[in-house]
Amino acid sequence: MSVEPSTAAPFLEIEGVTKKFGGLTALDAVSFGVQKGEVTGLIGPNGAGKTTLFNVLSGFVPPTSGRVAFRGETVTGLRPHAIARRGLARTFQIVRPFPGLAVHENLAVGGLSNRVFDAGRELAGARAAAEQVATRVGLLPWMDRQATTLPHGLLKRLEIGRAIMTQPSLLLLDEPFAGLGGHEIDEVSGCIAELAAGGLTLIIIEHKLRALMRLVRRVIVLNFGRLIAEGSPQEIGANTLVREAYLGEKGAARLA
Amino acid sequence: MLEVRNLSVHYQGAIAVDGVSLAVARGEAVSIIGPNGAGKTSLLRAISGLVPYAGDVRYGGTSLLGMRPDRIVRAGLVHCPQAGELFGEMTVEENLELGAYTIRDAQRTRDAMERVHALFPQLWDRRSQLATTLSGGERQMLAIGRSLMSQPRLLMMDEPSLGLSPLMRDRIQDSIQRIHQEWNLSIILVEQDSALALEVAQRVYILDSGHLVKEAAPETIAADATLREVYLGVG
Repeated sequence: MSVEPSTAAPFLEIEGVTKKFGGLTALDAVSFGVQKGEVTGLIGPNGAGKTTLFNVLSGFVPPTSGRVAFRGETVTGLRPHAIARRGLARTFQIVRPFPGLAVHENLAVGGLSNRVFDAGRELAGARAAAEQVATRVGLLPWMDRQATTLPHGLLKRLEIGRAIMTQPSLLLLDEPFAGLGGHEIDEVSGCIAELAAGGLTLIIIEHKLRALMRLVRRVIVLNFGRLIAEGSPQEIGANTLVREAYLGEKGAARLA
Repeated sequence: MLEVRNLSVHYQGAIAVDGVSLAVARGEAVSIIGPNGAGKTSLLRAISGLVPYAGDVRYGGTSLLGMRPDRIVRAGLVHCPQAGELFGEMTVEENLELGAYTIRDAQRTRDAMERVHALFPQLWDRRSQLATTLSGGERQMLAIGRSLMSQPRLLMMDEPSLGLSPLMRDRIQDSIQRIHQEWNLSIILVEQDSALALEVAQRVYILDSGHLVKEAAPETIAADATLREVYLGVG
Protein backbone atom coordinates (compact mmCIF):
# COMPACT_ATOMS: atom_id res chain seq x y z
CA MET A 1 0.00 0.00 0.00
CA SER A 2 3.07 2.23 0.08
CA VAL A 3 3.15 3.11 -3.59
CA GLU A 4 0.74 5.73 -4.83
CA PRO A 5 -1.23 4.43 -7.86
CA SER A 6 -0.08 6.16 -11.02
CA THR A 7 -2.81 7.54 -13.24
CA ALA A 8 -0.93 6.62 -16.41
CA ALA A 9 -0.26 2.94 -15.60
CA PRO A 10 -2.90 0.33 -16.45
CA PHE A 11 -5.06 -0.98 -13.61
CA LEU A 12 -3.39 -4.37 -13.99
CA GLU A 13 -0.05 -4.72 -15.70
CA ILE A 14 1.53 -8.05 -16.58
CA GLU A 15 5.13 -7.75 -17.72
CA GLY A 16 7.05 -10.67 -19.20
CA VAL A 17 5.56 -13.26 -16.87
CA THR A 18 7.17 -16.68 -17.28
CA LYS A 19 6.30 -19.75 -15.22
CA LYS A 20 8.23 -23.01 -15.52
CA PHE A 21 7.30 -26.29 -13.88
CA GLY A 22 10.46 -28.40 -14.22
CA GLY A 23 11.04 -28.67 -17.97
CA LEU A 24 7.58 -27.40 -18.87
CA THR A 25 7.13 -23.72 -19.68
CA ALA A 26 3.53 -23.06 -18.67
CA LEU A 27 3.77 -19.29 -19.29
CA ASP A 28 6.29 -17.82 -21.68
CA ALA A 29 6.96 -14.06 -21.35
CA VAL A 30 3.30 -13.04 -21.24
CA SER A 31 2.67 -9.28 -21.21
CA PHE A 32 -0.56 -7.33 -21.36
CA GLY A 33 -2.44 -4.66 -19.45
CA VAL A 34 -6.03 -4.23 -18.34
CA GLN A 35 -7.72 -0.86 -17.84
CA LYS A 36 -10.05 -0.10 -14.95
CA GLY A 37 -13.62 -1.18 -15.68
CA GLU A 38 -12.57 -3.31 -18.66
CA VAL A 39 -13.97 -6.81 -19.23
CA THR A 40 -11.39 -9.07 -20.87
CA GLY A 41 -11.78 -12.63 -22.13
CA LEU A 42 -8.88 -15.09 -21.75
CA ILE A 43 -9.11 -18.09 -24.07
CA GLY A 44 -6.89 -20.84 -25.42
CA PRO A 45 -6.63 -24.64 -25.69
CA ASN A 46 -6.72 -26.91 -22.63
CA GLY A 47 -3.27 -26.67 -21.06
CA ALA A 48 -2.40 -23.29 -22.64
CA GLY A 49 -1.60 -21.69 -19.27
CA LYS A 50 -4.79 -19.72 -18.60
CA THR A 51 -5.37 -21.00 -15.06
CA THR A 52 -1.62 -20.81 -14.35
CA LEU A 53 -1.78 -17.11 -15.24
CA PHE A 54 -4.67 -16.68 -12.76
CA ASN A 55 -2.57 -18.54 -10.18
CA VAL A 56 0.32 -16.11 -10.73
CA LEU A 57 -1.91 -13.01 -10.64
CA SER A 58 -3.58 -14.09 -7.40
CA GLY A 59 -0.32 -15.15 -5.74
CA PHE A 60 -0.99 -18.91 -5.60
CA VAL A 61 2.23 -19.59 -7.49
CA PRO A 62 5.17 -17.20 -7.88
CA PRO A 63 6.28 -16.53 -11.47
CA THR A 64 9.72 -17.82 -12.48
CA SER A 65 10.37 -14.33 -13.86
CA GLY A 66 8.42 -11.23 -14.74
CA ARG A 67 6.29 -8.78 -12.81
CA VAL A 68 2.63 -8.15 -12.00
CA ALA A 69 1.51 -4.66 -10.93
CA PHE A 70 -1.99 -4.00 -9.59
CA ARG A 71 -3.14 -0.40 -9.21
CA GLY A 72 0.43 0.75 -9.62
CA GLU A 73 1.89 -1.52 -6.95
CA THR A 74 4.07 -4.56 -7.64
CA VAL A 75 2.25 -7.57 -6.17
CA THR A 76 4.61 -10.28 -7.45
CA GLY A 77 5.77 -12.32 -4.46
CA LEU A 78 2.90 -11.30 -2.18
CA ARG A 79 0.89 -14.06 -0.51
CA PRO A 80 -2.63 -14.77 -1.86
CA HIS A 81 -4.40 -13.22 1.15
CA ALA A 82 -2.33 -10.06 0.82
CA ILE A 83 -3.24 -9.76 -2.85
CA ALA A 84 -6.91 -10.43 -2.06
CA ARG A 85 -6.79 -7.66 0.55
CA ARG A 86 -5.64 -5.25 -2.14
CA GLY A 87 -8.82 -5.94 -4.09
CA LEU A 88 -7.87 -8.76 -6.48
CA ALA A 89 -10.19 -11.78 -6.14
CA ARG A 90 -10.56 -14.96 -8.15
CA THR A 91 -12.82 -17.96 -8.54
CA PHE A 92 -11.84 -21.58 -9.16
CA GLN A 93 -12.97 -24.00 -11.87
CA ILE A 94 -13.78 -26.67 -9.32
CA VAL A 95 -16.05 -25.27 -6.62
CA ARG A 96 -15.20 -26.43 -3.10
CA PRO A 97 -17.55 -24.88 -0.55
CA PHE A 98 -16.69 -25.12 3.16
CA PRO A 99 -18.40 -28.33 4.28
CA GLY A 100 -20.68 -28.09 7.29
CA LEU A 101 -21.40 -24.42 6.61
CA ALA A 102 -24.61 -22.97 5.22
CA VAL A 103 -24.64 -20.87 2.05
CA HIS A 104 -24.73 -17.59 4.00
CA GLU A 105 -21.82 -18.76 6.17
CA ASN A 106 -19.79 -19.68 3.10
CA LEU A 107 -20.39 -16.18 1.80
CA ALA A 108 -19.52 -14.62 5.16
CA VAL A 109 -16.10 -16.32 5.17
CA GLY A 110 -15.29 -14.42 1.98
CA GLY A 111 -16.02 -11.16 3.79
CA LEU A 112 -14.13 -12.14 6.97
CA SER A 113 -10.94 -12.80 5.05
CA ASN A 114 -10.86 -9.17 3.99
CA ARG A 115 -12.17 -7.73 7.25
CA VAL A 116 -15.18 -6.28 5.51
CA PHE A 117 -16.78 -6.55 8.94
CA ASP A 118 -15.52 -7.49 12.41
CA ALA A 119 -15.98 -11.20 13.04
CA GLY A 120 -16.56 -11.05 16.78
CA ARG A 121 -18.98 -8.20 17.02
CA GLU A 122 -20.71 -8.05 13.71
CA LEU A 123 -22.12 -11.41 12.78
CA ALA A 124 -25.38 -9.64 12.05
CA GLY A 125 -23.40 -7.46 9.68
CA ALA A 126 -21.98 -10.58 8.08
CA ARG A 127 -25.46 -11.87 7.44
CA ALA A 128 -26.52 -8.55 5.96
CA ALA A 129 -23.47 -8.40 3.68
CA ALA A 130 -24.05 -12.01 2.62
CA GLU A 131 -27.67 -11.21 1.80
CA GLN A 132 -26.65 -8.29 -0.36
CA VAL A 133 -24.24 -10.45 -2.32
CA ALA A 134 -26.73 -13.34 -2.49
CA THR A 135 -29.21 -10.98 -4.12
CA ARG A 136 -26.65 -10.03 -6.75
CA VAL A 137 -25.84 -13.65 -7.64
CA GLY A 138 -29.36 -15.03 -7.18
CA LEU A 139 -28.73 -17.22 -4.11
CA LEU A 140 -31.17 -15.62 -1.66
CA PRO A 141 -33.68 -18.54 -1.60
CA TRP A 142 -30.94 -21.00 -0.55
CA MET A 143 -29.16 -19.05 2.21
CA ASP A 144 -29.73 -21.58 5.01
CA ARG A 145 -28.99 -24.68 3.00
CA GLN A 146 -25.78 -26.66 3.54
CA ALA A 147 -23.56 -25.40 0.73
CA THR A 148 -22.31 -28.89 -0.18
CA THR A 149 -25.86 -30.00 -1.03
CA LEU A 150 -26.36 -27.31 -3.70
CA PRO A 151 -26.63 -28.50 -7.30
CA HIS A 152 -23.74 -27.58 -9.59
CA GLY A 153 -25.49 -24.57 -11.16
CA LEU A 154 -25.96 -22.89 -7.77
CA LEU A 155 -22.44 -23.81 -6.63
CA LYS A 156 -21.06 -21.86 -9.57
CA ARG A 157 -22.99 -18.80 -8.32
CA LEU A 158 -21.76 -19.36 -4.75
CA GLU A 159 -18.20 -19.37 -6.08
CA ILE A 160 -18.73 -15.92 -7.63
CA GLY A 161 -20.55 -14.74 -4.49
CA ARG A 162 -17.70 -15.76 -2.17
CA ALA A 163 -15.24 -13.82 -4.34
CA ILE A 164 -17.31 -10.63 -4.45
CA MET A 165 -17.81 -10.78 -0.67
CA THR A 166 -14.15 -9.65 -0.49
CA GLN A 167 -15.26 -6.42 -2.24
CA PRO A 168 -12.72 -6.72 -5.05
CA SER A 169 -11.99 -4.12 -7.70
CA LEU A 170 -10.60 -6.80 -10.05
CA LEU A 171 -12.22 -10.23 -10.31
CA LEU A 172 -10.74 -13.20 -12.17
CA LEU A 173 -13.42 -15.72 -13.20
CA ASP A 174 -12.17 -19.22 -14.10
CA GLU A 175 -14.76 -20.88 -16.36
CA PRO A 176 -17.92 -19.50 -14.72
CA PHE A 177 -20.11 -21.37 -17.27
CA ALA A 178 -18.39 -24.79 -17.08
CA GLY A 179 -20.93 -27.56 -16.63
CA LEU A 180 -23.86 -25.19 -17.13
CA GLY A 181 -26.33 -25.45 -19.97
CA GLY A 182 -28.88 -23.36 -21.78
CA HIS A 183 -30.79 -21.08 -19.49
CA GLU A 184 -28.31 -21.47 -16.61
CA ILE A 185 -25.60 -19.82 -18.71
CA ASP A 186 -27.92 -16.90 -19.47
CA GLU A 187 -28.59 -16.44 -15.74
CA VAL A 188 -24.93 -16.47 -14.64
CA SER A 189 -24.05 -14.32 -17.65
CA GLY A 190 -26.67 -11.80 -16.46
CA CYS A 191 -25.03 -11.70 -12.99
CA ILE A 192 -21.61 -11.08 -14.53
CA ALA A 193 -22.95 -8.35 -16.84
CA GLU A 194 -24.39 -6.57 -13.79
CA LEU A 195 -21.07 -6.77 -11.93
CA ALA A 196 -19.39 -5.26 -14.99
CA ALA A 197 -22.03 -2.55 -15.24
CA GLY A 198 -21.31 -1.71 -11.59
CA GLY A 199 -17.71 -0.89 -12.57
CA LEU A 200 -15.95 -4.13 -11.56
CA THR A 201 -12.92 -4.97 -13.73
CA LEU A 202 -13.10 -8.56 -14.95
CA ILE A 203 -10.92 -11.15 -16.65
CA ILE A 204 -12.89 -14.23 -17.69
CA ILE A 205 -11.53 -17.62 -18.75
CA GLU A 206 -14.19 -19.47 -20.72
CA HIS A 207 -14.68 -21.98 -23.55
CA LYS A 208 -18.36 -21.18 -24.09
CA LEU A 209 -17.49 -18.52 -26.58
CA ARG A 210 -20.84 -17.22 -27.68
CA ALA A 211 -21.71 -16.44 -24.06
CA LEU A 212 -18.22 -15.02 -23.40
CA MET A 213 -18.16 -12.80 -26.46
CA ARG A 214 -21.37 -11.05 -25.40
CA LEU A 215 -19.64 -9.96 -22.17
CA VAL A 216 -16.22 -8.83 -23.36
CA ARG A 217 -14.83 -6.08 -25.57
CA ARG A 218 -11.33 -7.55 -25.79
CA VAL A 219 -9.95 -11.09 -25.90
CA ILE A 220 -6.46 -12.41 -25.11
CA VAL A 221 -5.47 -15.79 -26.57
CA LEU A 222 -2.83 -18.06 -25.02
CA ASN A 223 -1.35 -21.13 -26.71
CA PHE A 224 1.46 -23.23 -25.17
CA GLY A 225 2.02 -20.46 -22.63
CA ARG A 226 2.44 -17.69 -25.19
CA LEU A 227 0.17 -14.80 -25.99
CA ILE A 228 -0.66 -15.45 -29.66
CA ALA A 229 -3.44 -12.93 -30.28
CA GLU A 230 -5.22 -10.00 -28.72
CA GLY A 231 -8.19 -8.09 -30.09
CA SER A 232 -11.93 -7.62 -30.33
CA PRO A 233 -14.15 -10.73 -30.51
CA GLN A 234 -14.52 -10.13 -34.27
CA GLU A 235 -10.76 -9.87 -34.80
CA ILE A 236 -10.15 -13.02 -32.75
CA GLY A 237 -12.81 -14.97 -34.67
CA ALA A 238 -11.09 -14.04 -37.93
CA ASN A 239 -7.52 -14.70 -36.71
CA THR A 240 -5.89 -17.61 -38.59
CA LEU A 241 -3.58 -18.62 -35.73
CA VAL A 242 -6.50 -18.73 -33.30
CA ARG A 243 -8.61 -20.74 -35.75
CA GLU A 244 -5.84 -23.31 -36.11
CA ALA A 245 -4.87 -23.58 -32.45
CA TYR A 246 -8.18 -23.24 -30.74
CA LEU A 247 -11.42 -22.57 -32.58
CA GLY A 248 -11.29 -24.98 -35.50
CA GLU A 249 -13.27 -24.07 -38.61
CA LYS A 250 -16.57 -25.19 -37.11
CA GLY A 251 -15.89 -23.28 -33.91
CA ALA A 252 -15.11 -20.13 -35.88
CA ALA A 253 -18.32 -20.58 -37.88
CA ARG A 254 -20.38 -20.95 -34.69
CA LEU A 255 -18.87 -17.70 -33.45
CA ALA A 256 -19.63 -15.74 -36.62
CA MET B 1 -32.41 -52.95 -26.86
CA LEU B 2 -32.66 -50.94 -23.63
CA GLU B 3 -35.92 -50.18 -21.95
CA VAL B 4 -36.23 -48.05 -18.82
CA ARG B 5 -39.60 -48.41 -17.14
CA ASN B 6 -40.91 -45.96 -14.58
CA LEU B 7 -37.50 -45.53 -12.96
CA SER B 8 -37.15 -43.48 -9.75
CA VAL B 9 -34.05 -42.66 -7.68
CA HIS B 10 -34.23 -41.27 -4.16
CA TYR B 11 -31.35 -39.87 -2.12
CA GLN B 12 -32.14 -39.51 1.59
CA GLY B 13 -35.68 -38.43 0.93
CA ALA B 14 -34.91 -36.21 -2.07
CA ILE B 15 -36.20 -37.42 -5.41
CA ALA B 16 -33.54 -37.23 -8.14
CA VAL B 17 -35.38 -39.20 -10.83
CA ASP B 18 -39.14 -39.50 -10.75
CA GLY B 19 -40.83 -42.20 -12.84
CA VAL B 20 -38.78 -41.91 -16.04
CA SER B 21 -39.44 -44.28 -18.95
CA LEU B 22 -37.34 -44.33 -22.10
CA ALA B 23 -36.08 -46.73 -24.73
CA VAL B 24 -33.04 -47.09 -26.98
CA ALA B 25 -33.18 -49.24 -30.12
CA ARG B 26 -30.20 -51.25 -31.39
CA GLY B 27 -27.77 -48.92 -33.19
CA GLU B 28 -29.62 -45.83 -32.08
CA ALA B 29 -28.05 -42.68 -30.58
CA VAL B 30 -30.18 -40.76 -28.09
CA SER B 31 -29.31 -37.67 -26.09
CA ILE B 32 -30.60 -36.63 -22.69
CA ILE B 33 -30.50 -32.91 -21.99
CA GLY B 34 -31.79 -30.73 -19.18
CA PRO B 35 -30.57 -28.31 -16.50
CA ASN B 36 -28.26 -29.19 -13.61
CA GLY B 37 -30.01 -31.25 -10.99
CA ALA B 38 -32.50 -32.61 -13.54
CA GLY B 39 -31.47 -36.18 -12.71
CA LYS B 40 -29.48 -37.01 -15.85
CA THR B 41 -26.40 -38.39 -14.08
CA SER B 42 -28.54 -40.22 -11.49
CA LEU B 43 -30.44 -41.90 -14.33
CA LEU B 44 -27.20 -43.15 -15.90
CA ARG B 45 -25.92 -44.31 -12.53
CA ALA B 46 -29.13 -46.24 -11.93
CA ILE B 47 -28.98 -47.94 -15.33
CA SER B 48 -25.35 -48.92 -14.57
CA GLY B 49 -26.37 -50.43 -11.24
CA LEU B 50 -24.37 -47.89 -9.22
CA VAL B 51 -27.34 -46.56 -7.24
CA PRO B 52 -30.49 -48.36 -6.08
CA TYR B 53 -33.71 -47.48 -7.86
CA ALA B 54 -37.39 -48.33 -8.15
CA GLY B 55 -38.89 -49.40 -11.47
CA ASP B 56 -37.13 -51.60 -13.99
CA VAL B 57 -34.37 -51.52 -16.59
CA ARG B 58 -34.53 -54.20 -19.26
CA TYR B 59 -31.60 -54.82 -21.56
CA GLY B 60 -32.01 -57.29 -24.43
CA GLY B 61 -35.11 -58.59 -22.67
CA THR B 62 -33.39 -59.24 -19.31
CA SER B 63 -34.03 -57.20 -16.18
CA LEU B 64 -30.93 -55.43 -14.78
CA LEU B 65 -32.68 -54.60 -11.50
CA GLY B 66 -30.38 -55.62 -8.63
CA MET B 67 -27.62 -56.78 -10.95
CA ARG B 68 -24.05 -55.93 -9.92
CA PRO B 69 -22.34 -53.17 -11.98
CA ASP B 70 -19.60 -55.51 -13.25
CA ARG B 71 -22.25 -57.93 -14.54
CA ILE B 72 -23.92 -55.06 -16.38
CA VAL B 73 -20.58 -54.14 -17.98
CA ARG B 74 -20.05 -57.78 -19.01
CA ALA B 75 -23.51 -57.73 -20.58
CA GLY B 76 -22.27 -54.93 -22.88
CA LEU B 77 -23.63 -51.80 -21.22
CA VAL B 78 -20.83 -49.40 -20.31
CA HIS B 79 -20.88 -46.03 -18.56
CA CYS B 80 -18.23 -43.38 -19.31
CA PRO B 81 -18.51 -41.11 -16.25
CA GLN B 82 -18.35 -37.34 -16.10
CA ALA B 83 -14.85 -35.81 -16.06
CA GLY B 84 -13.39 -39.18 -17.00
CA GLU B 85 -12.41 -40.37 -13.51
CA LEU B 86 -9.19 -41.81 -14.84
CA PHE B 87 -6.52 -43.67 -12.89
CA GLY B 88 -4.29 -40.58 -12.73
CA GLU B 89 -1.09 -42.21 -11.50
CA MET B 90 -1.18 -44.91 -14.15
CA THR B 91 -0.10 -44.64 -17.77
CA VAL B 92 -2.43 -44.18 -20.71
CA GLU B 93 -1.81 -47.78 -21.74
CA GLU B 94 -2.53 -49.13 -18.24
CA ASN B 95 -5.78 -47.15 -18.12
CA LEU B 96 -6.83 -48.75 -21.40
CA GLU B 97 -5.81 -52.23 -20.22
CA LEU B 98 -7.93 -51.80 -17.09
CA GLY B 99 -10.87 -50.97 -19.32
CA ALA B 100 -10.60 -54.52 -20.66
CA TYR B 101 -10.65 -56.01 -17.14
CA THR B 102 -13.85 -57.90 -17.89
CA ILE B 103 -12.44 -59.37 -21.14
CA ARG B 104 -10.37 -62.44 -20.27
CA ASP B 105 -8.97 -62.94 -23.71
CA ALA B 106 -5.60 -61.47 -24.71
CA GLN B 107 -6.35 -61.48 -28.43
CA ARG B 108 -9.67 -59.66 -28.02
CA THR B 109 -7.95 -57.12 -25.75
CA ARG B 110 -5.23 -56.48 -28.34
CA ASP B 111 -7.87 -56.04 -31.07
CA ALA B 112 -9.81 -53.59 -28.91
CA MET B 113 -6.59 -51.68 -28.17
CA GLU B 114 -5.85 -51.39 -31.89
CA ARG B 115 -9.30 -50.09 -32.68
CA VAL B 116 -9.09 -47.52 -29.87
CA HIS B 117 -5.70 -46.34 -31.15
CA ALA B 118 -7.15 -46.05 -34.66
CA LEU B 119 -9.93 -43.86 -33.26
CA PHE B 120 -7.60 -41.77 -31.05
CA PRO B 121 -4.04 -41.87 -32.50
CA GLN B 122 -2.94 -39.42 -29.77
CA LEU B 123 -3.47 -42.13 -27.15
CA TRP B 124 -0.87 -44.26 -28.92
CA ASP B 125 1.59 -41.32 -28.98
CA ARG B 126 1.05 -40.81 -25.27
CA ARG B 127 0.80 -44.47 -24.24
CA SER B 128 3.59 -44.36 -21.65
CA GLN B 129 2.60 -41.00 -20.09
CA LEU B 130 0.75 -40.79 -16.79
CA ALA B 131 -2.91 -39.93 -17.19
CA THR B 132 -2.48 -36.85 -14.95
CA THR B 133 -0.15 -35.27 -17.52
CA LEU B 134 -2.74 -35.32 -20.32
CA SER B 135 -4.59 -32.23 -21.52
CA GLY B 136 -8.35 -31.99 -21.00
CA GLY B 137 -9.15 -33.21 -24.50
CA GLU B 138 -6.76 -36.15 -24.25
CA ARG B 139 -8.21 -37.15 -20.89
CA GLN B 140 -11.66 -37.29 -22.42
CA MET B 141 -10.31 -39.39 -25.30
CA LEU B 142 -8.74 -41.76 -22.78
CA ALA B 143 -11.98 -41.99 -20.79
CA ILE B 144 -13.94 -42.88 -23.92
CA GLY B 145 -11.18 -45.22 -25.12
CA ARG B 146 -11.13 -47.03 -21.77
CA SER B 147 -14.91 -47.50 -21.96
CA LEU B 148 -14.57 -48.95 -25.45
CA MET B 149 -11.95 -51.46 -24.26
CA SER B 150 -14.64 -53.53 -22.60
CA GLN B 151 -16.30 -53.83 -26.02
CA PRO B 152 -19.72 -52.48 -25.15
CA ARG B 153 -22.79 -52.66 -27.32
CA LEU B 154 -24.36 -49.68 -25.61
CA LEU B 155 -22.18 -46.79 -24.47
CA MET B 156 -23.48 -44.21 -22.01
CA MET B 157 -21.50 -40.96 -21.93
CA ASP B 158 -21.87 -38.29 -19.25
CA GLU B 159 -20.89 -34.82 -20.50
CA PRO B 160 -17.91 -35.69 -22.68
CA SER B 161 -17.58 -32.02 -23.78
CA LEU B 162 -17.19 -30.69 -20.22
CA GLY B 163 -14.43 -28.07 -20.05
CA LEU B 164 -13.14 -28.66 -23.57
CA SER B 165 -11.95 -26.03 -26.05
CA PRO B 166 -14.08 -25.57 -29.20
CA LEU B 167 -11.60 -27.53 -31.31
CA MET B 168 -11.45 -30.48 -28.87
CA ARG B 169 -15.22 -30.41 -28.46
CA ASP B 170 -15.55 -30.85 -32.24
CA ARG B 171 -13.04 -33.74 -32.24
CA ILE B 172 -14.95 -35.46 -29.46
CA GLN B 173 -18.17 -34.96 -31.42
CA ASP B 174 -16.56 -36.54 -34.51
CA SER B 175 -15.38 -39.51 -32.47
CA ILE B 176 -18.84 -40.03 -30.93
CA GLN B 177 -20.32 -40.02 -34.43
CA ARG B 178 -17.70 -42.53 -35.60
CA ILE B 179 -18.38 -44.79 -32.62
CA HIS B 180 -22.04 -44.67 -33.49
CA GLN B 181 -21.82 -45.00 -37.26
CA GLU B 182 -18.67 -47.06 -37.85
CA TRP B 183 -18.62 -49.16 -34.70
CA ASN B 184 -22.42 -49.52 -34.76
CA LEU B 185 -22.77 -48.95 -31.04
CA SER B 186 -25.96 -47.73 -29.42
CA ILE B 187 -25.34 -44.51 -27.54
CA ILE B 188 -26.90 -42.58 -24.68
CA LEU B 189 -25.35 -39.14 -24.45
CA VAL B 190 -25.94 -36.82 -21.51
CA GLU B 191 -24.83 -33.31 -22.45
CA GLN B 192 -25.08 -29.68 -21.35
CA ASP B 193 -23.80 -28.64 -24.77
CA SER B 194 -27.17 -28.82 -26.45
CA ALA B 195 -25.78 -28.21 -29.95
CA LEU B 196 -23.62 -31.33 -29.56
CA ALA B 197 -26.49 -33.30 -28.05
CA LEU B 198 -28.78 -32.44 -30.96
CA GLU B 199 -26.17 -33.02 -33.67
CA VAL B 200 -25.21 -36.58 -32.73
CA ALA B 201 -28.61 -37.95 -31.69
CA GLN B 202 -31.52 -39.39 -33.61
CA ARG B 203 -33.82 -38.76 -30.67
CA VAL B 204 -33.61 -36.38 -27.72
CA TYR B 205 -35.12 -36.67 -24.26
CA ILE B 206 -35.48 -33.58 -22.07
CA LEU B 207 -35.31 -34.17 -18.33
CA ASP B 208 -36.22 -31.49 -15.78
CA SER B 209 -36.50 -31.85 -11.99
CA GLY B 210 -36.44 -35.63 -12.30
CA HIS B 211 -39.26 -35.77 -14.84
CA LEU B 212 -39.23 -36.52 -18.52
CA VAL B 213 -40.76 -33.43 -20.13
CA LYS B 214 -40.23 -34.11 -23.83
CA GLU B 215 -39.12 -36.76 -26.27
CA ALA B 216 -38.64 -35.71 -29.89
CA ALA B 217 -36.38 -35.65 -32.93
CA PRO B 218 -33.56 -33.08 -32.64
CA GLU B 219 -35.04 -31.00 -35.50
CA THR B 220 -38.37 -30.80 -33.67
CA ILE B 221 -36.71 -29.54 -30.49
CA ALA B 222 -34.53 -27.04 -32.36
CA ALA B 223 -37.65 -25.69 -34.13
CA ASP B 224 -39.66 -25.23 -30.91
CA ALA B 225 -39.22 -21.63 -29.70
CA THR B 226 -40.28 -22.39 -26.12
CA LEU B 227 -38.01 -25.42 -25.70
CA ARG B 228 -35.15 -23.47 -27.25
CA GLU B 229 -35.65 -20.63 -24.83
CA VAL B 230 -35.92 -22.85 -21.73
CA TYR B 231 -33.48 -25.67 -22.45
CA LEU B 232 -31.08 -24.72 -25.22
CA GLY B 233 -30.12 -21.09 -24.48
CA VAL B 234 -27.31 -19.39 -26.31
CA GLY B 235 -24.25 -21.13 -24.80
